[in-house]
Amino acid sequence: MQRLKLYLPLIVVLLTALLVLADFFTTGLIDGVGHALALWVSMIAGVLLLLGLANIAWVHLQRLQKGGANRVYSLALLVSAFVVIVAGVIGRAAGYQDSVSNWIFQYIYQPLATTLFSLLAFLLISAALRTLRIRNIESALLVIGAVVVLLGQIAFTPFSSLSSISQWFQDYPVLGIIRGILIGTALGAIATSLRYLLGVDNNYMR
Amino acid sequence: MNVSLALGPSTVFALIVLAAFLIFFFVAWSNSEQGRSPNLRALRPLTRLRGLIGQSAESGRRLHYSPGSGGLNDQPGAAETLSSLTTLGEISRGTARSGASLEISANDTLTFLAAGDVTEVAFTEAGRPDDFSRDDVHFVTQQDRLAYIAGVESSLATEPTAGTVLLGRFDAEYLLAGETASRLAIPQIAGSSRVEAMPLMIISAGSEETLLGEEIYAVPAYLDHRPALLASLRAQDALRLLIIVAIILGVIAASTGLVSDIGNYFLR
Repeated sequence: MQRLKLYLPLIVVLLTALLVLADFFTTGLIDGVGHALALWVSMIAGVLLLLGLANIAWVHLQRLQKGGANRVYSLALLVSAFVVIVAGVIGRAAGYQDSVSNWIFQYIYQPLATTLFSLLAFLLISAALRTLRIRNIESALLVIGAVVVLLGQIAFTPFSSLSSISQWFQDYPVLGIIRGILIGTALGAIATSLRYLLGVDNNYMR
Repeated sequence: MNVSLALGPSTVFALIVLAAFLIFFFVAWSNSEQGRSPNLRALRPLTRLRGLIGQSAESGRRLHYSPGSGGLNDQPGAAETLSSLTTLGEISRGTARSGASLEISANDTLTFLAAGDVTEVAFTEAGRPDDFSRDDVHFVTQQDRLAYIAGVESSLATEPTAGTVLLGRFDAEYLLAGETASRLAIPQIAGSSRVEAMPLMIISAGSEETLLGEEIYAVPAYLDHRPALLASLRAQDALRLLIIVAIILGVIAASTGLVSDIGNYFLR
C-alpha cells in the first residue's frame, strides 16, 4: 500500500507527460489530449478556489479573534469578500447576469489596482536614488549608461543627439544580454519541467 | 486512422532539444551517481539565505517565502513556480532543522496546495512534523499579481519578519514588496527570470541578494546535492555549449554565404 502511494503519482505524471508529448509531436493519434488535460487542470483549480477562500477566511477570522491594530484590515477583507460574493450571486439570480460583478470590478477594483500600480514610479525613483551612487567603476558605468539612456529619451535639443547613442545601447549590448538571459532561462525551464515529468523532482511526496 | 509525425520547423527543433537534453541528463546522472560531481561556482545569495534561516531561528521571527506571483496553471510561469517549489522544499528542511518558523504566501490555489505538501514533507523528513502547520501557508489571491504583491507587502509591513525570500515569476510589481522590505530593513533574497523584474530586484534588494535568470533554476541543485539535480545542471551546460557552437557555426555560414536564410529558419 505504501509503495502504491509512492509510485501511483509518479506513474500518473509519467503517463500524462507521454500523452502530452505524443499529442505535440504527432497528428491523428491523440489530437486534442493536451488541450483536454489543460482544461482539466483549470477545472480542478476552479474547485480548489473554494479551499483557498476557506484559508483566507480562516486566517483573517483568527486575526480578528486575536485583536490588535491591524484587525480592521482583516474585517475589511472579510466584509468586502462577502459583499462581492453575495452581490454576484444575487445579481445573477435577479437576472442581471454579471453586470453587478462587472460594476464592482470596473469602478472599485480597477481604480484601486491602477493607483497601486502608479506607486511603482515613485518606488522606482527612490530605489534608483539609493542604488545609483558612484562607488566603484562598475557603479560608475551603470550610472553613465542610465543617464545616457534617460537623456536620450528627451526629444528636444541638446539631448536629441544622445538618442542615437541611447538607441545603440538598447539595440546591441542590452538586446544581446537579454537574449543570453532568455536562452539560459529557457534551458532552466526545460530542465525543471523534464525533472518533474520524469519523476526525479518529487519533493511533494518523498 | 492516419497517424503521422507533426514535423514542422518548431517541432523538429523541440525534438532535437528534448532528445539532446535527455541524453546529456542520463549520462550526467550516471556520472554523478559514481561520485563525479561538478564544481559549482559560489552563488552569494545562497550564502545569505543560509544566514537568514539562522537569523530567523535565533530571533524567533518568521522567515517569509513567496514562490512568485505566477502560478502552476499559468503556462509561461509554471516552470519558474515549479523550481521555486523545489527550492521551498530545501529551505523548509533547513528551517525545520534549525527550529526557525516559515510562512508562505501563494498566488494560486494549486501553488498554495503544492507549497503546503512540499513543506509538510520537508518538516516530516527533518523529524519535526509537529512544527509545521497548514495555517502557515497562506492563499493570498487567485492569479492576480498586483493584489498578491500588495498582500505580501502588507504581510511584511505588519508581521515581525527575520527575512523574506521572493523567488519565482515576478514582473515590475515586485518593487512594491521589495521596497517595503528595504524600507523596514528586512533582509531579502530575490530572484526571477523575467527581464522586467531583474533590474528592479538589483536596485531594490542589491546585486548580492538577487538570483538572476537561470540561477533560480539552479538553486535546488546548490541546496541539495542530489545526483539527479546536479545532472540536470550539467545537462543544461552541455546544451548551452551546443547552442553556442550552433550560433558560431550559424554566424560563419551566414557570413560566408554558405546558407543564405539560416536566420529565417530559426525565426520560423
